[in-house]
Amino acid sequence: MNFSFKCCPGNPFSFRNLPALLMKSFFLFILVGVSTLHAKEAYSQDKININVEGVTFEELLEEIQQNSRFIFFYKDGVLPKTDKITIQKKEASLEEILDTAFRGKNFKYRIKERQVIILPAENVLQKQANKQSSLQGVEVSGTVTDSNGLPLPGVNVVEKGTTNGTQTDFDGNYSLIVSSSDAVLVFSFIGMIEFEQVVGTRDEVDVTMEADQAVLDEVVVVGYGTQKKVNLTGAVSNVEMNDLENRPLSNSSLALQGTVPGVLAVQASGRPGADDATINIRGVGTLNNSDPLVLVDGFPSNMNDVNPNNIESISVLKDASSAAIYGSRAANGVILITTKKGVAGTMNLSYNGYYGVQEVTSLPDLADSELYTTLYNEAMVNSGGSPLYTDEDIEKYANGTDPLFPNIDYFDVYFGTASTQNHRLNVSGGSETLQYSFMTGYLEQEGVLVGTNHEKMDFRSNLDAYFFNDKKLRLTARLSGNRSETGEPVDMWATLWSGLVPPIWPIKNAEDQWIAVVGESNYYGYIMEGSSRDVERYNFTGQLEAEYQILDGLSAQLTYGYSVENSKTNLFNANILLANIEGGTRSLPSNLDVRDDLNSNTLLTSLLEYEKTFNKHSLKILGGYSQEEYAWGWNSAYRANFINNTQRYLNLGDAATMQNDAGAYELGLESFFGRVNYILDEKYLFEANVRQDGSSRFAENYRWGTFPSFSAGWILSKENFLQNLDWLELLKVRGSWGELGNQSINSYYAASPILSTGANYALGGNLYSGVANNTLTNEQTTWETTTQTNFGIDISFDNNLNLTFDYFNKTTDDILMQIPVPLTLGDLTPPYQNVGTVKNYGLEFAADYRKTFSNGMYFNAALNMAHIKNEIVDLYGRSPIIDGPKALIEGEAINSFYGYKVDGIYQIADFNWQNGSDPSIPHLERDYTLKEGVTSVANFNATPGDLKYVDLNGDGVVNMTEDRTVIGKQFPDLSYSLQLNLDWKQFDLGLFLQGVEGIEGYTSWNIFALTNVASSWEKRWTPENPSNTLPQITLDGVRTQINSEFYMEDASYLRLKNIELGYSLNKDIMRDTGFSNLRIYANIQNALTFTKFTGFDPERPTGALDSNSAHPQVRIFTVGANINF
Amino acid sequence: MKRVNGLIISLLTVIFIFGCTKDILEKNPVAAFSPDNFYNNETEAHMALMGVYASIIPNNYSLHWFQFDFMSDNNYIQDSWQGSKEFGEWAHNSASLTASEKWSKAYQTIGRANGFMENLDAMDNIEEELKLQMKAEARFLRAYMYYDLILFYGDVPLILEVQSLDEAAVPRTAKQEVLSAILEDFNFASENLPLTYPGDQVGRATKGAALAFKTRTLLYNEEWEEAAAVAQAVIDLGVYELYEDYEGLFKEENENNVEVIFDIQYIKDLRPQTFPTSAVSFGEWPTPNVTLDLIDSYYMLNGLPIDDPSSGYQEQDPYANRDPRLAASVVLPGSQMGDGILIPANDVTITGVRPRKYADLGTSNRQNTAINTILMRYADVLLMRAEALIEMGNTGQEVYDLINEVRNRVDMPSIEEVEGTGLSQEQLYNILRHERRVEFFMEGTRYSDMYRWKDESLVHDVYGYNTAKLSDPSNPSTWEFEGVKLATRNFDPAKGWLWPIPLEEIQNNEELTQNPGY
Repeated sequence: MNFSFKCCPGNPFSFRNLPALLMKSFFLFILVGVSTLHAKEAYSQDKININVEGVTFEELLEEIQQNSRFIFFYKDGVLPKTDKITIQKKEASLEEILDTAFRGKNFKYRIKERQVIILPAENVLQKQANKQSSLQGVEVSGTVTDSNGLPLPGVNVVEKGTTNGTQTDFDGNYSLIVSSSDAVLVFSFIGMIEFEQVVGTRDEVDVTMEADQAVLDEVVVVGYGTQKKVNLTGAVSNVEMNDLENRPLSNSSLALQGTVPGVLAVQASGRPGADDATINIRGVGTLNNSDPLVLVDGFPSNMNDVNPNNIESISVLKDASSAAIYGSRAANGVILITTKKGVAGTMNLSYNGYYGVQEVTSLPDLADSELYTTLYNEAMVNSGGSPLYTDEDIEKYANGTDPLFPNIDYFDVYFGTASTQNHRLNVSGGSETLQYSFMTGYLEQEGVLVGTNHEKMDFRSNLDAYFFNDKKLRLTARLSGNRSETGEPVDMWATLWSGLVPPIWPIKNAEDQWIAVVGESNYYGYIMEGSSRDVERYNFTGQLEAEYQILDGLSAQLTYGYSVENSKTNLFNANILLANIEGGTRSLPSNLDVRDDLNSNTLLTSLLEYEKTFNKHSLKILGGYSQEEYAWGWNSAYRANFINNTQRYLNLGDAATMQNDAGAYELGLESFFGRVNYILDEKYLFEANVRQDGSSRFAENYRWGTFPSFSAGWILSKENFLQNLDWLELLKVRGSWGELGNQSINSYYAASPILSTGANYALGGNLYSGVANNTLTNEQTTWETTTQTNFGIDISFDNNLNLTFDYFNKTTDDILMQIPVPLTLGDLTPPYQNVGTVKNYGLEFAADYRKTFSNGMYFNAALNMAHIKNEIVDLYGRSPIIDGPKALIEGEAINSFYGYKVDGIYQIADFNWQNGSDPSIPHLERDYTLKEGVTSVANFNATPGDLKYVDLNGDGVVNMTEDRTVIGKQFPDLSYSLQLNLDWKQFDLGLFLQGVEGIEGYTSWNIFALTNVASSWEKRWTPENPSNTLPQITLDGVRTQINSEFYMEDASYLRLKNIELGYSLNKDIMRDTGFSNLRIYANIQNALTFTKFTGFDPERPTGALDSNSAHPQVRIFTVGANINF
Repeated sequence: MKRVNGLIISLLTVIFIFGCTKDILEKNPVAAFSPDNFYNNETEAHMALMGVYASIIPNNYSLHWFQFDFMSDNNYIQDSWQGSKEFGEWAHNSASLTASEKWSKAYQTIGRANGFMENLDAMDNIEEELKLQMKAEARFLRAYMYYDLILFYGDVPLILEVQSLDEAAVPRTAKQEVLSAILEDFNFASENLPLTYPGDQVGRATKGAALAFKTRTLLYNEEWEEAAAVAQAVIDLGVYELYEDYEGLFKEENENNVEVIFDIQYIKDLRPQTFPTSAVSFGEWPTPNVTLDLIDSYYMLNGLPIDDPSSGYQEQDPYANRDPRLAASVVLPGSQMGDGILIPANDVTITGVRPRKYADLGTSNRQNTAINTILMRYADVLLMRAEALIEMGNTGQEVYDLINEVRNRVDMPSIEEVEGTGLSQEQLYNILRHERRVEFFMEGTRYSDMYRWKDESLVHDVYGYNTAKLSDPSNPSTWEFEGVKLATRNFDPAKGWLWPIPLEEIQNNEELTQNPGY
């Protein structure tokens, strides 16, 4: 398909392979966009109300800036600091005000659209320059633009080491005569990073200036509003989206990986459509859902429903004071995502796209057929049986000539390389009264696992309209939606398991029939015949917001929004003919399970805000109310025996097999909240929050929780005693304390007794509905409470180095736990009780450095580190609660690995046998008994080659009740990341390293008739090879299912998560093409990993046990382009 | 004007705040019943009763009745995750899953029965007779759980009423006291249950079922005289007789036949077996092994054991002229298994032999098996009475007749024809025990029998065929039947004949004590 882009006459170029729908929506957006562009900009007609008394010029301009759309540019020192002005004007034009204010002063102004430049009446600098130009010199001219390619007026351009300089004009142009070609030009501008450039032989020096991120005016999004970063008293981190812009992130949660100290984002897998990260902010504080609250433009959302490319900013509220305004669900931290809004000005159209190839990062090395059969035979013998495979068989496997005796690498069968592509189109712009931003995109991911794929299309539009004089009323509409289709094997677990099938199983027989692998199934065959789980998901969110300035400083805001999510699952087991290897076939009938889920969520928020500055006092008060309702519902239906494997519709199945089911849940939340910010003298910062929340999860008398918080900050650098330190831009200390709530438990009706349906029973060939009580109810369940204290220091140095330290201590009490209850109650699901206590404390550190060198090179480094300790304080007397190899134990981290410690392997010397240990008796015929004093095991009679466990209590016997202990933990001691960016000339290079240290992973590597083992078992214990690390191989489950240190491995890793090289086309060339910016790049994600872990990828879901419990991670090679038109 | 606008919006905000709040937090379960407003009529009572019945369906592989045969000398599973391996090898411990699953399942049924009865008692708009019958069904199911509990765990908490969480920490009740409660339940059940049900209700507990399980409980607890008497009462009901076709007894088309006293009912698609027996008999389940010991225990058609020199047994033609129950119960090497032939060398079972009983040969989808699981049949009542009589010292003709009735059904000769008459108590006792083994193979009773007989000789190493020597599919005459040892099983006297109280339950309830040896 070709598509000609006509906006730039004479330069048509074509997109290839863009999906048709994307094109259609693009046209739609163009139409909508154009129709909103009619309003001609008329800033000069803006009317301003001004009423100031005895203020400086700087304060006056600030006031005007706040009450209008105008932006002022001026150089330090232009405005006199001592003069005091008093002006009172109503509905005046800017000119009227400025003319009055500047009367008789030694400076003048110029207005261009919304930009106002204040200049000295007589340009002193220019004069000096002209004076020097009489000397021998070189004339240099050029244009200064910002990173978006827009001209920057008012930029100071000075020859380094002299007073020779000038300013750029409205079009960003300058001209200056410098002393020689060795001269260095220094470009400086408020809000931009100072930039040095050698003139050299050029007579034209064009410069692009980067915004200075460390600038003290930086504003961050906080709960229900924004706050100047410098005035923050809590622990809020901002994700620098610019640094991430070009990373091929398939979903937004990955933007948090390594970018915020104290946030551990672990990518669960490389599974298409489900490759998002699990996010824990400051450790896992509860035994319940520990996911943070995610709000997209104020609306509770799934992070996956917003494309990373559409995000303007991400704020992470980590401590109690910043999160307390969201008290009810803020205990796990809050992530605030703001999407891109339109900015008044010319239409900005950009395209970002990439194409990539994925492969599995790492797969363990498994035994081949010869080794597997040898090991299996040995395991049989060691377990008291006899060999299964004859020497003849093993030889056939080794030769690999007989197709029924193959050596198949099942990883190769199930995994391969896969493509991915992503295309994004953003249009934004608007007039003074109407601003728009439209975003749309298409993502396609083929999976590296056979039968997996994912496709997603999304749109988002943000419209802001202003009404009445002075734009007193703002109406904002935000609409977004997406549609995705995901395909994957019906039984993901079993399919992943199948990658571990012993290599001896052929896939098909000579008749081209699928072999029943291990006598059971053939998941590859299932997939090839058309079995799949297809999910079609639709999500739509709409929000309407009105804000009205009631009085000066007083505004009210009302937001109403809803979102609906519909998932249609079509799970089809295809009809398949399976051939047993011993002969005989059977045809498995097909069946279809469809399920429709419809979830909805409505949110109503109203806010009342008051802001007032008087003298040294600055006060902000916020009060609000919100109510939220959720509804979930699903219907499912089933039929079997379909006519073919392609028409997957219910009505085509066998009517006699019909089944259906349904379910529904509701949840309501209601909250009142308030916040007071008070700043004294721009140095002393105070904030208090309170939120009262009610949840329908709890019974009437236990429903409400109140969560207060307090915080304070002190900007020391503004004190007189530090003001003289030129190198210190900011030094701030801050502290906070607060309480937060959590009600996010796995039950919507924890306080209501329920008689469950589905306990059906058949009588005489008829099915009868049955009900049963399956759970205990506790009507006294109420909020969990997290109390958090935070201390932080922020330091900014003059040379663009910023440091942030935080210490926090977070304790969650009254954790809603389902502590086990006696089974004699009827094997009922335990009720939630407010009983546990968990503590997290730790240190976070972030450093950020940015520098533009005189040769034009821009360098940026950002380092994040966090050390978090997690500890269960109280389990209501039920410690330890053991669940397989994991346990909850007082004094230990949540879900620590639990089992025996290992101290080598039992060797033959540890035993006696017949005839006074006659060495001539063959190993297998010996009747081994442990020598006196050698530790024995209660669960089995130890023989040479068995793992030797540590007898912790020293009673000579290792047993389950007294000798198990913590053998590993799932949370790292240290998580860290380093982001490096380098821009030079047209090139840019980005490196992102991320790692964790001090974490263990569990590997289960036991031989089975059903599974292969790692090839490292070649070095197992045998009488001839008395290993002291790998035990003898056995099929005895009593031995292999004992959880011990043997299965623990250090899962620390350092990963080059991302490496990217970009090239931006020369601006001169660009001018001819009509693009304002064109950049191409190549990128590798998960490029390199350094780890000792031998299983699958060390980055895997917390607590993953089975080798196959997670889809492997993928390495992605991409090439892409960013285009601005 | 502006102020007016502002006021209007502020007012609207306030109205929104206080106008929309009323029902947000009042959310009651929408798609679920609450026990508080249920039990209004007969239909609802029936639904709740079905919930109690549903609880006897094994919900976990370790609880399927055939797993108990896998723990016995009849069978073997080499993979330990199914639980039966460690129990069979006496390697189980207090953390063993099976011990906890059996315990939970039993108390789940007991809890549901108690809850059902409490609510039923409070109903006043249901016919008294029906109420009594339903209550009798619940008490039957409760007693059915307790008789198993005391067999495996000894003293267990006796809970006959709904408990609250605060009352849940109860100590173990003496086995004898639990036994009395079980017998009371069975008595109440047998007095209030009908003899039979109409066709669409078949499967509910009957008077015969209550009496038969009472017999079993008495027998397991060595109350011989009473056991014999109650068994006779079942016989005297005149409702049951042996079904003529032994192999057909376990087929879906012959369900609810005259021999069945109580079973778990299944139907295809909607309520099939949870861990289907057909899968065990075919390739889907790679590890169910029939032991050589079991195969060898079937007599020749002439009624003689194979190690009798005059039996005519041919070692290399081992299946000729054997008790027909062997071929009916076991997929023998070289015999039909679905549409293929079992070639041990190609099969993943390590003994080379799989179970056949209950295999649904007619379906290719063996996950969708709906054959009812018979928990009590008439043959058992006959043999239970015989056993009780022998234990009482009665060696009279009735004992011969009872056992012969079971043997003759499959055309095996009567005791008198093979062993003669005037046999001693011990001789009869051995004949009876053998008969139980071959008659009830794969029906889950062998392990219980071993436990109540406390017969250590039944705990021994596992033997199977050397499958490599049973390989040439085209020519079974080249096969060489050679027994090889496959696993070691040793009785552990320290653990004795009781299972451990589940470790987690001891942690849940500090009133509980552990059985010796764990």
